[in-house]
Amino acid sequence: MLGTDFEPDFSETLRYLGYRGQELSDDMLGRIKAMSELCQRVSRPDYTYGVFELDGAHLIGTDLTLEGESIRRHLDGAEKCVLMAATLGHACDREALRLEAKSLADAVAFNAASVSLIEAVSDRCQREIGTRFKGEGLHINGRFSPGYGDLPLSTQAPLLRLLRAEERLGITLTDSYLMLPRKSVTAVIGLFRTEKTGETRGCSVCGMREFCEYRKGGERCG
Amino acid sequence: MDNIMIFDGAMGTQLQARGLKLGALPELICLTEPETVAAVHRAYVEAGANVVTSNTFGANRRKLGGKAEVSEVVGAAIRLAKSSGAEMVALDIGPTGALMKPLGAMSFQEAYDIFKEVVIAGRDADIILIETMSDILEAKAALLAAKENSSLPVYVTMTFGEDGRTFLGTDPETAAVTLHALGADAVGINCSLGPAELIPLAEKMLSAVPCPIIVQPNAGLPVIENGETRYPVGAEEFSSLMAKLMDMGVSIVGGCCGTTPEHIRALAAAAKGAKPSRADYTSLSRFTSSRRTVTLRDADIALIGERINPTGKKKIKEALRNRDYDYIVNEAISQAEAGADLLDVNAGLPEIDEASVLEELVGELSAVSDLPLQIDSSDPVAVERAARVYPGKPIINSVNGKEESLSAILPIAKKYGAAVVGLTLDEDGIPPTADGRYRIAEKIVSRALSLGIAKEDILIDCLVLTVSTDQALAGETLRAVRLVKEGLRVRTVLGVSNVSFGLPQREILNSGFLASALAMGLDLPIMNPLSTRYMDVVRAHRVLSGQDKGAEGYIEKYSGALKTVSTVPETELSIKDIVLSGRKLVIESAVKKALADESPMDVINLRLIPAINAAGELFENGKFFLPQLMASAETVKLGFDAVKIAAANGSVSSKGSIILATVKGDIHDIGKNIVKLLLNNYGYEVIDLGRDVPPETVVREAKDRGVKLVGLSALMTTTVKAMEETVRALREAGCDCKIMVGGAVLTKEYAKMVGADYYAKDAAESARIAEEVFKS
Repeated sequence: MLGTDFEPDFSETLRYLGYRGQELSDDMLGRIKAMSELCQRVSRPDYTYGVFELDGAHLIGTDLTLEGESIRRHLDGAEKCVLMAATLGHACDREALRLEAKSLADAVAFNAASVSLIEAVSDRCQREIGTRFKGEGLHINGRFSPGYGDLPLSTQAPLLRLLRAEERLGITLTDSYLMLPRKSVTAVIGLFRTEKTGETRGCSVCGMREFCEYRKGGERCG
Repeated sequence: MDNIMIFDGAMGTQLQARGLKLGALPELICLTEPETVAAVHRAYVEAGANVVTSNTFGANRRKLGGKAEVSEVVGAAIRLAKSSGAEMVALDIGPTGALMKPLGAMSFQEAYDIFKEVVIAGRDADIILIETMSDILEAKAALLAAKENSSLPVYVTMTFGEDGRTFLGTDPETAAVTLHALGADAVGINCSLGPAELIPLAEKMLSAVPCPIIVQPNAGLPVIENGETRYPVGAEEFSSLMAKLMDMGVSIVGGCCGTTPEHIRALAAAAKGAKPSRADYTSLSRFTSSRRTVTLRDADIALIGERINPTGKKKIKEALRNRDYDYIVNEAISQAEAGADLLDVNAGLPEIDEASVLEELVGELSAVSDLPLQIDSSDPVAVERAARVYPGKPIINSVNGKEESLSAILPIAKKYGAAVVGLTLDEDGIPPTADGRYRIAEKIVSRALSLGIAKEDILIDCLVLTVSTDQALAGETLRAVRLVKEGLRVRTVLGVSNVSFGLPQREILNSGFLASALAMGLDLPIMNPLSTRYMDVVRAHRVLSGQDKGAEGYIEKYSGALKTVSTVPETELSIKDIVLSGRKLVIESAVKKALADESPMDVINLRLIPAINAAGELFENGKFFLPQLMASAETVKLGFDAVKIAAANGSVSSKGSIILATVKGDIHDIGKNIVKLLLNNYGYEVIDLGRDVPPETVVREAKDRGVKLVGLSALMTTTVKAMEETVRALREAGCDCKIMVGGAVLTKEYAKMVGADYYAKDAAESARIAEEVFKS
């Protein structure tokens, strides 16, 4: 388990709620802040990762070959790849369930805070990977998750198994490949000899797309 | 020492050292490379293990995923383990890999069936080892599957993190108490931490239960070096730490991840020199939820919250009828916040299927509340179903002195390890005197003891009758409490508030009676913790009895300025302004004021609905964002409740019924709940089918209820398919309802593709759609 020095980014939390500079009463601001703090208090953020040699899209020494054109592009020219998994833990889901019964206004704010917290935890994991491999002269690219592009969501199963994520982090899968705890992230990151430019961006590779209020309104965040 | 049992060490890491591919299913090796598995077993036997564990950790149908039959893999694994020449073979059972309801999607029965299959396939083993559990309910399903389908001894271990809890939040004491109560032959800890970290956790288990404790640590906390996982604790260090555990009284030992035959060899040597001295176990009354143990020592008392009971409560009746438990969950939350230690749960309504509702309700409450539950029903079937799926050690309320009751309820309490309340009445009714009640209590206690129920788990209710009919009755009850406490030495329960039935200002009488009963030795008052008057009595008693050490709780509560009695604030704001600013505290008084001059329907149609409309418009125009709309909607909902309570029956009519469901495979339903709240705001009755709802359930409900509109929600791209199937099923069944769909990944195009009539991009839109459908 990691320490508790993670904080949900408050401006991100507001952004996930669809905030566009509306007039905010102190009352409402206080309420959202309180949910953000609650989220931080109840969550048990943790992550793990593993590095694998590559033969094309096959992870050497394992029974996993990553399928699809988009992951091939993501790993094009990569020397190795890293699989990562991060989670906020079950207590966060339990609190969400409690809030949904108690107050939906609080529940939506809590949900947004937990989305920005899991992003912060994933970013931390990614940075740690970046720092670790810098010493070996390797550069990382972005996070690419099962379900993005044409990388099948079912990749979650072997990915989590390789990381022993059930034992280490308590992440399980439903029959429809939803991760539980809900606020969990898995991703594939490439390791390159030269720095990668021209990152894939946009909604299809965004971790927030399932929750994004902008997208629902047919807009984009940038 | 001869009486220490030595298990083996890790299987997985040993197989990997012999070339098992990462991520491959280690159990399949039993079929493909049996000799490799046999070699690992032999190495452990040769190192001194008395028991080898079969290579079946993940050999369940869910994890094997059709790659092999469970019976084939488990059968082969047991034969390989036996061929090693070990004194004993343990059938290894790990988690299913799926999370159980309500946080997950797997039902208790599904988990039970998965475990049952493994238990039957492994019948030639000598011991069943259920291990690495993080969900106490899953451990319970496995333990029941083992006990009901075999006669082998069953050992159960759970795995804890550095914060001393499992991933699902269970602490070691709670795990030990619950699993021991359910009849596990040994309970303990394995995996995730090293032996040093497990010492304090094992200590908690050793003092909580009398049964043998098993500890199988990892070879230290794993460290990742150059991408490789390494376990840092070597054989010597491992065995010297394990020696400490054995001296403390841990009598079954072995290793988990990262341990090798060398670790076990050193462990076996250390076991020979162990000098176990286990501290004396004190039997205490203990009740558990999945995350908390309530323990009664000496003169301790614990409050049982009484509010989850439909008697005389309109909203709870409605919630039970509709199986819509949010209101009841809130009753649990507020009682917990007010200071309840346990919660009574009663779902006794003649017109509902009590057994299935109580079973569901116990699950929902356990997910969000960590207070142990008291299962309150007179129906043995309902009691058993609820006790079976309850993730802890509950209290059963109740058995009584009638033969029929004794023979039906006590065996259930014994089987599920529950504590049980015995009512002092029998075939002849309630004896008028204390002595008569004492005699029935004596009978109940002796019957319970003869079935093996511990004395600490028997609670006697001497029954409170109202003093409005006979004032002598209260005194007899109090005398009976004292007799039972002194003569039978068991704990007592009383439903305090009955005493004042039929009299005014009942709280005054009740609190006086409560104080007297506590003085007579009442241990578990069943009462309303939201009453400050009762809580004052309880807090005072806890200081006087010494339960509140140093009066800390009392001082924290009552020091400083005396809080003024809060009254509902008056407001001059209009209902619309109150709604737009989301002021939940004042809406009720504003609605009541309006009701003085206007009819209930006018308050709804001319005030509340226009207010939520205004909030919806602000949201549409981007002047409000989601939390603001929600705050307004919650305020309107409270306004609606206030109108309904004030209005006579039938004077508030619904605009129509709408079914909402989150489709199969999707278990995230906050979006659907938002829509539900808003539709309620507009006066529609919403039939909420919940999450992960199969198409056939939607069809059945739509037909039975003849609704005009069905709303379906899907969160994931993958479950849009389930939405399409549900729409098709509704059409094929000939339902002439309109269908609206929504959800994060849905678009107008998707909505069309799945065959829906309407696409609701947000909750405000769904209200407009409903208006259109119900206008026609």
